[in-house]
Amino acid sequence: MAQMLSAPRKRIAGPRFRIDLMPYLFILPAVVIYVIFNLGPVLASFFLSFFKWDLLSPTTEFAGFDHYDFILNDDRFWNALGHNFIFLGLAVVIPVSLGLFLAVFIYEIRRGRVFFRAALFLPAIFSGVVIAYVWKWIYHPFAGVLNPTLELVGLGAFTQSWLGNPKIALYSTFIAYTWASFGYSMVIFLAGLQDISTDIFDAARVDGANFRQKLFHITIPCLYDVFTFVITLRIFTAMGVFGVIYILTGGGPFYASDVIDIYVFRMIGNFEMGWATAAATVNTVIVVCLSTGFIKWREWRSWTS
Amino acid sequence: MIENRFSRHVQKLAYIVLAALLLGVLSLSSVSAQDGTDVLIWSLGYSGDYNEALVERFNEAHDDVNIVYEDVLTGTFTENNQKVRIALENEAGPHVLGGVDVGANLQALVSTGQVKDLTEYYRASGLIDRIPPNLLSQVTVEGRIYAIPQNMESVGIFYNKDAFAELELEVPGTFEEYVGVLEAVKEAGYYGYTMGLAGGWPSALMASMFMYSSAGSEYIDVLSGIQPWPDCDNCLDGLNAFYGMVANGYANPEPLGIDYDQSLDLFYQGINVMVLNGPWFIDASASAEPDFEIGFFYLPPVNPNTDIMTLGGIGGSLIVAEYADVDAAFKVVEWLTSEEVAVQALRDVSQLPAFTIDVPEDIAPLTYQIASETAANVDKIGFWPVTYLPPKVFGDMNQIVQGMIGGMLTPEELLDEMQETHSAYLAEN
Amino acid sequence: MKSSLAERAILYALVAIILMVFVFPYGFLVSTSIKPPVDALAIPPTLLPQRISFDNYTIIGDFPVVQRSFGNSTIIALLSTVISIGLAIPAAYAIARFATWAGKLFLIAALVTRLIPPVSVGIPLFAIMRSLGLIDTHLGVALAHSTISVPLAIWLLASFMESIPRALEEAARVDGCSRFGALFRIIIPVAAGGIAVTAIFVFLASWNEFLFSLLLSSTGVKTAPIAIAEFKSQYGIQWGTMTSLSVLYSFPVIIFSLLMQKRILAGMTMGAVKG
Repeated sequence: MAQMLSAPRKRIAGPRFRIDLMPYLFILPAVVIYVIFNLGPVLASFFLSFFKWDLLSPTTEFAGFDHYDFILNDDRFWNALGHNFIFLGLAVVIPVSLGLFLAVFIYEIRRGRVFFRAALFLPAIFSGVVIAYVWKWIYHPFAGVLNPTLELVGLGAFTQSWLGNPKIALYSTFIAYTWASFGYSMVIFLAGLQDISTDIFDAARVDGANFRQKLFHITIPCLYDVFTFVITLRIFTAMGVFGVIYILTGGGPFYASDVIDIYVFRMIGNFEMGWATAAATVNTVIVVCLSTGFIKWREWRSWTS
Repeated sequence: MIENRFSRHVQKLAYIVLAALLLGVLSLSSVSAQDGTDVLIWSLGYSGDYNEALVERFNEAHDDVNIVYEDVLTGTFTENNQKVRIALENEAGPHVLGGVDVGANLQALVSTGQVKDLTEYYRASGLIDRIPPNLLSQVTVEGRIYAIPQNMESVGIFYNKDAFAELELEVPGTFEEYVGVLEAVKEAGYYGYTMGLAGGWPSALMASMFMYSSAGSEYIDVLSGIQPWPDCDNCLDGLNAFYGMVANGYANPEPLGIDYDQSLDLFYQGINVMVLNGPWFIDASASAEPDFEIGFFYLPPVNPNTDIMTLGGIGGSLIVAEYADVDAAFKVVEWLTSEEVAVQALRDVSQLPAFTIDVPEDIAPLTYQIASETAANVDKIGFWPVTYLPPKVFGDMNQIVQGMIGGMLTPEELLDEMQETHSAYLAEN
Repeated sequence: MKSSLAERAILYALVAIILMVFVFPYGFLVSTSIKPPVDALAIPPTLLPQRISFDNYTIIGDFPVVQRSFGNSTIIALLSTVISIGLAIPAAYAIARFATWAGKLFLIAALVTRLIPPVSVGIPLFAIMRSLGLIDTHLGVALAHSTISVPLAIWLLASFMESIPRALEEAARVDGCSRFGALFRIIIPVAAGGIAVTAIFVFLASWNEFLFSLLLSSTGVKTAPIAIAEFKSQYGIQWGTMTSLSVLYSFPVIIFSLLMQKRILAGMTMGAVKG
């Protein structure tokens, strides 16, 4: 059969379309599974945002944009979205630059590279449940180890109710998020660094370039595409952050660490699917716009320069 | 070369994977069959080991009905509830749902026709005469009975007896006396009231406890949306009393920085001397091995004229309407309410069954005290507000109470905020 | 490297501090797990155990449900790996070699749908699983996990396959191999390293997944993260046992990352830089 589908390489005279079915057959199983178990539920949830239905009662009622109207007029929605954007702003700077710094370091050293790489990458592949419980204990105002450690190193003035202070709570969850995610950026940067030809670095050294010059004039420009990838990934995870906040603060105190997915989760409690799915849809649209916009901008910039 | 060696490793790995899969499939296919009707119970109540022993006893005593028991505790109330309702909707649920927090939760299930009307069974079996009216009202929706109260617990203050003896404190009988105790405890360098308010539920529940114990059944009207929150002066008194725990330094510091479970450690460590909890705390505290003796009293009501004594939870059994064999299932749930099971429950899990029984004297003293006090006051126990408020509003209330504790809202502003959130919800649904 | 000794010393010191800060949480977890259970709650806390005790580990023997959950997690993660890799290999091959628009579109769509909060997808997904009789089965949970990892697996594998010279395949085709034959005899063996890396990613994604496991299992196939999370509510607070369970649970993750870190790095290179 394969022979039949792929054999006629010779062109028969006259214009004629030949569709090669084989690649489609190869993709088909994955597509079928995806449509049934992923796209189906996603579309169902999208359509629910236009209906008043709790999934249990026999009647449904078309609600048009009512749910969107409610969501967009709800201060708490904007509060949560604002926190997502704070998270995003921090996430594209801190885990990314930390990852870059550590990648450059590991790339530079000869001794202990394997050990450093493994130790720093570990948190990135831990289970979210384990990560969140560990941090909950670290932040504990009485039994936690963070405050005593700060006192030990002379930073006693910074001791805090890390999760209980509304001004700090969001940033405390962000630290746990950073812990869980910088290793991923680091490994990707490291991979990118190893692809840069060593000749460039050698030439720079001959020219007498110092560390900073090398970093800003060679390393970072050479990692242009890697940056695009790493930051896009941060857009996804920062706009969709859930588990770490759910376990650490539950969005509190008084909505101080509320984010969209927590807001959605509160709505879903009683199957108020309309509001929940409307909020989820708005968030998805924002993420898609942000990420595609960012990628297009990066492509445009690299093309113009 | 390396690539080749590697692919051999992968091959080996594949064989291991296949062998493991095969083992998994084999272990799945070993479900035994028995005679009689199977009744599948999902339990959201008692601890698993106890229930398994109970089920074994039932199955030995009955030939015609066979219980298949599954423990489906998943953690938070919302998660449990969500999972059960998804399962019922999809007819993938059990025949009997045990240990459900009834109340408004039951109303939601009844309104979708998912649970069986048991009124006739109640009458025929005489069960209707054995259950106290205020419990019966918790399982009744529009005059019909839909659930069987199975177990009940009431919450109160567990205290450090050694610390009380050291400070020569008496168990308080009124709220004023209680505040006096808190004051003395504070003077002595301890913390009185244990508070861990981080997370999705403790703030709303604790604040409710105080509002309830001040406003009584008026608070139920507020929760049901009949009376506006700001109009409930008694609720405000309760809130002020609750806020006083923090404002006057009676509670541990940083209540918003720790969750409820973490706050219990402060009690075990002897840092805090009183903690609000339910009878399950007897077992839980034993595993922490505190080096002091634990006593119990009911939190005196903020308003002495209130018509309830304390908050309680009531676990009911429901029979699923669509696909259960109701006769067989009723036999099971009726047996669960029998005195035999009730007494055994007291011995094993220290929780009080739904109705007055003779509490056996051979059980541990603290269990005996709580059980007999609850049995004596069964008609003065109010039920968890969580069953009256829709989960979304409950979740918002939790955040709003945190706002008050954190000093961002006054108690009056809290009531206004609650009114806004609650009425916006009710207007849409 | 010809950087000065002082420069390197500073660099090492700086990274050592960062390392301490970042390894610290896990170190604390391990250290708590080997304290006697009562010491786990000490206020103020001690960093290192004053007394060593393995009680937190031996006590796990008393909880058959928790033990079973580790078995369930293993079966589900392996099943999910087999399903995902089985679906991803041909799809990745088609995308890498034939650059069909359908393949690209599918990949983009699949990555976009992953952005939707899983909580809002859970309910329709449950209904579908139920109508297929897959609730509370290993296969059901594994399939749900596969939908998460298949797009990533295709993406990673496609970049591996793109790096394989076409000449290899063409030589095989000239020798009379069908396209299937070329895939099985040339591509899969050559890309074995990439497949292994992808398999590990898929395995770990399933091993760590929480929400779908919670929704789609009742008692039969409860996975380890759920058993750990439930442990608290079901048996009172036993922080010590929570830590020992967490350590055991992280074990495969650590083993994989140590054994395979070069491979994982290679996978990242392919996926990130070239993909």
